[in-house]
Amino acid sequence: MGKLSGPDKEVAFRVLQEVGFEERIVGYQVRERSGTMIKSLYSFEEVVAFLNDQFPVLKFDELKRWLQVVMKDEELALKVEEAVEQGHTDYERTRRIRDLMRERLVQCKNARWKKA
Amino acid sequence: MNGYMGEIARVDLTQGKIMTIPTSDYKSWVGGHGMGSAIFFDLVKDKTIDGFNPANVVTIMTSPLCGTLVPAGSGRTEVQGIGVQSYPIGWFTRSNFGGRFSTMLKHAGWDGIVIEGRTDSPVWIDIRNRTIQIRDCRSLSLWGTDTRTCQERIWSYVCGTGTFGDWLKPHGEEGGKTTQRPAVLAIGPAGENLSRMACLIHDAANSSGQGGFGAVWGSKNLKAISVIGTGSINIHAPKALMKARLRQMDKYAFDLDNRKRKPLSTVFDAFPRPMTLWGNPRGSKRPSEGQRPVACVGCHAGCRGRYESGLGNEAHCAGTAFYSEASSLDIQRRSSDLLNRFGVNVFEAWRGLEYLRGLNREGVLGPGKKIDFPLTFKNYGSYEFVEQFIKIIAFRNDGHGHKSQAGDDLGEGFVRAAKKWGRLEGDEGDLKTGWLNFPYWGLPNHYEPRTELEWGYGTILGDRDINEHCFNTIFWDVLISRFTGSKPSATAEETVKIYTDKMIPFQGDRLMMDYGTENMYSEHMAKLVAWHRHYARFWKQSALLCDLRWPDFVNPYAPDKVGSTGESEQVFFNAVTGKHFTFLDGIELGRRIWNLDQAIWTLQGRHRDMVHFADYIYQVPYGGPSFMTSKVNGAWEYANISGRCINKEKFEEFKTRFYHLEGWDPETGYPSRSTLRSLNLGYVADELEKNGKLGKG
Amino acid sequence: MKNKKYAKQDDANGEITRRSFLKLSGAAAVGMWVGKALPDLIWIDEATAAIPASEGYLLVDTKKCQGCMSCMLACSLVHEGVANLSRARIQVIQNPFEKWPHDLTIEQCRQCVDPSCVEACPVDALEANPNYGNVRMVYGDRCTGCGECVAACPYTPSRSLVVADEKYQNKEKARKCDLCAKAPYHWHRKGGGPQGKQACVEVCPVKAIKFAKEIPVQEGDTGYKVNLRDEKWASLGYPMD
Repeated sequence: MGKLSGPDKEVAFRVLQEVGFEERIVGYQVRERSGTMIKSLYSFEEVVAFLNDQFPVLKFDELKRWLQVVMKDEELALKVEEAVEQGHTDYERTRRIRDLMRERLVQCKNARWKKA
Repeated sequence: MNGYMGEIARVDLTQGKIMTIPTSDYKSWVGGHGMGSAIFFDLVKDKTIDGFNPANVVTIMTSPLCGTLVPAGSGRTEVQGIGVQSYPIGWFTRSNFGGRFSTMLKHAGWDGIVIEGRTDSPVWIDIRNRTIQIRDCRSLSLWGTDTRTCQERIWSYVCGTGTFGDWLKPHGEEGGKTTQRPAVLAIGPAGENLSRMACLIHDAANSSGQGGFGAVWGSKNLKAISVIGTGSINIHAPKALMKARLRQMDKYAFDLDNRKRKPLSTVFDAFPRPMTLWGNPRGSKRPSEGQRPVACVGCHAGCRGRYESGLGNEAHCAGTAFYSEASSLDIQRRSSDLLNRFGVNVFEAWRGLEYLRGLNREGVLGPGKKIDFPLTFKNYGSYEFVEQFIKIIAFRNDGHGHKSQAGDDLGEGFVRAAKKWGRLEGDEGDLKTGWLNFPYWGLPNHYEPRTELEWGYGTILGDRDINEHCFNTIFWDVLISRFTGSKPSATAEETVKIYTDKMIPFQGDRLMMDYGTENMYSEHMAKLVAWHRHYARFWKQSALLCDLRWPDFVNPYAPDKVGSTGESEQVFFNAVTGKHFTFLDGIELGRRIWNLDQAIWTLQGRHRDMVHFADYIYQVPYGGPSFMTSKVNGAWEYANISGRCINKEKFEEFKTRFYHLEGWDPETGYPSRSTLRSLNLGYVADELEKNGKLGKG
Repeated sequence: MKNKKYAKQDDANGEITRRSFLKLSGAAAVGMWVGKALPDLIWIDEATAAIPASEGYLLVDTKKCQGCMSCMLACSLVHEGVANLSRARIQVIQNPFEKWPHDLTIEQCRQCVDPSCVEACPVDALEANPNYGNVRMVYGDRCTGCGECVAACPYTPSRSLVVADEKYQNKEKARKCDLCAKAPYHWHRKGGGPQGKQACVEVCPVKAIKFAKEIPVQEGDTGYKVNLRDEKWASLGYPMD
């Protein structure tokens, strides 16, 4: 998968902010013996952390829509779609998506530092 | 009586009296839960009392297998009584904990302890062999301590001038010697402050978590029970027990030289490994420092750990899944310690915190908000945040020592608090939308009732989140396989065959294992639920086999993967007791116990009309992952059963089928005289009849 | 009566301690060697007849142990037919709040090359039994329950213990580890002793106890508290050292 190009200002801003209650994205935190727990995620960084868990369950189409509508990050949303298509298992898919989103997060944080 | 010590201690806190109950009076119940229910039935005349009523009786029972070499069957203790956690009624309920308490209690010469009444000032109970004393907490300044401090002070007191590690004579010159510390069961501040989420803690993290028994003890002014003993447990056939143990290990337990499957944790062949779920997603997961596994007495595969840092010693499972948003692994581990030291039930605290955060994000909860709650969530992820949260629950205040109405509300449990805050009203009430994910009896969702049916049905037809992982391995094995693209331990067809072959007396009915939507309200499913109740009530909660290792259904080490359940339980039981008890005898006795429990709940006020899930279970489809066995187009597969609700009308039909199967009156759910009489429970029928609650038939 | 010659060991303050270890003098170094063949009889000094070394020893890994106490239960089970931690000839002592590895210790009988318990017994009820590979064993018939062996044991807790014995009308008798040589409830046709099977070794689920034939280093703990962990154990997430 190709690297992400740098984010524009709006994306960089949104990625580093918490989102409002209605803009949250919901996944299922799945922990052995503890069942599944619905997790509301209120920021891009929280989604990255969530995807770093052992069995993170997130609906990929919802994630794509969230990236497009809430984060306004069309490029990343398309990369996520690519990752879903290329992955053979959900484990692979979530790891690829996590890595992409982590990359974007680092880009945005670096951009903030530069601005500062 | 092999396996037994012969007497049960009965402590009347009101009178300050110690009495005994001959174990033989209750021998037909074998031990653990069965004995606890029977003793409760006899001693508590008015079953409608509240859990905080001094007349509430708490039983702490062992089984004949405790303190022996039965693998994952020697270390548990069963606690019962009227709980204060469930809603709207604090059901007569149970909780169970591991460690070394039951072993030590038997060494002291007791098969159990029965607590009734209430003292005026805080006390602890000091058991040294056959001598039991009720001691004032003041001399050791125990009241107000956390569970660790409490235990350490009691240890020092009982040890006297001796040194741990040397032979001690805790009972003076009369008794024998031991190198062991007393086994102590204690409450923390949560119990002292009558928080309904308070639990009982033994050693670092063995907890009797459900039911709010910490608060029940707190209401009795009982801080702790300490027991130390030096006596012997008679074993009927020592050689046979040793051989059975070694054979079970050889044929069914883990083998590091011959690993068979990816490491599932709730199976007999699990590795000895701390079952921690510390998973700070931001960073490292399992602690990488020096550590050992820690096991309950006699267990072959420890599920806990102790660490070089000492952080989170013995914490496991949900106690370590809590607060995964912590900004470091260390903080998360310290939060496990906080829960155990303050004596707070992690499951409700964990699920409830998610709810509070959602309300905060919605803008309705926080300092100065509509729900004026003392947590800001601005420092969410920090140690200060979680400490404040746990203290809010434990002290029923703002977490900093000041009064807080909302903090006090939370001490009543999340559902009662939500009700008080007006969050359950109207069509958008939180139990209608599922925003408050507490589907059964005011208790948090553990395994999804809309899909894992035996769990949900068993819970709503019972008294609490069942927390019995008998069939749950299917869920995990398949989920992990689907997620990672690997193979499950057995095919769906193999799983169904192996499980249903063992489910006597219903063996052969494969459709018991069909979790598909077409079958979810059927008589076959009713049989699955009934069998599960009966097996668990006896073999797990009365004989006290550990839930994390038994039953052994599918075992990759066994020929054709057929695990040892149905064979091994009775072998161990009979080697210890000398009885000729069969697996089926155990299931039948489980049915008897389950019927007694249903009678108690009926006397408490249960009617079939109140046996219902929270509304969202009927209205909101479950969107998470779930793959369970189902027959699809004539073939067994692990079907995706996500995306459905329970149909309320069809659930009513299911209840009718279930009550018929159990021999209860389908109109009310009340046990019938004919069924009770067939189980030698005619006296129970008499009491139901006296109270106008006897089922027809 | 044996010549009860105790070598004295000075402690840090220069005082002579009551429980003493053999002081190496001009006599052959005893037990400092591991894995080397030693003669059947080890001369302690010219005047004292030697006590033959045991042909078997228990080695333990206190960092590996999971604290289940199965060894203790198995020990009391095969020796006395009951489950009783207080009757176990091996003791696991733990503090659940303490930090690893100091949270737990295993204290097994060392079958000492120079057994203080044997030397202390005034009635020769504790001897190296030649029929069982010179395992240091109690002869119940002779034992008077005086407790001298308990006092003499240089280790804490004492490896010898005196309890009321049902076989002797509840008279007090000493017990100690005999490597299951005379375990009346032994489950295996081979029985115990150095040529057979030891209950604690067989039952330990994590293999934290090992039987060894070579004489361990006698001074300190290193001979008896050893590392029994390997890569397979480490693959579960545990330290190798």
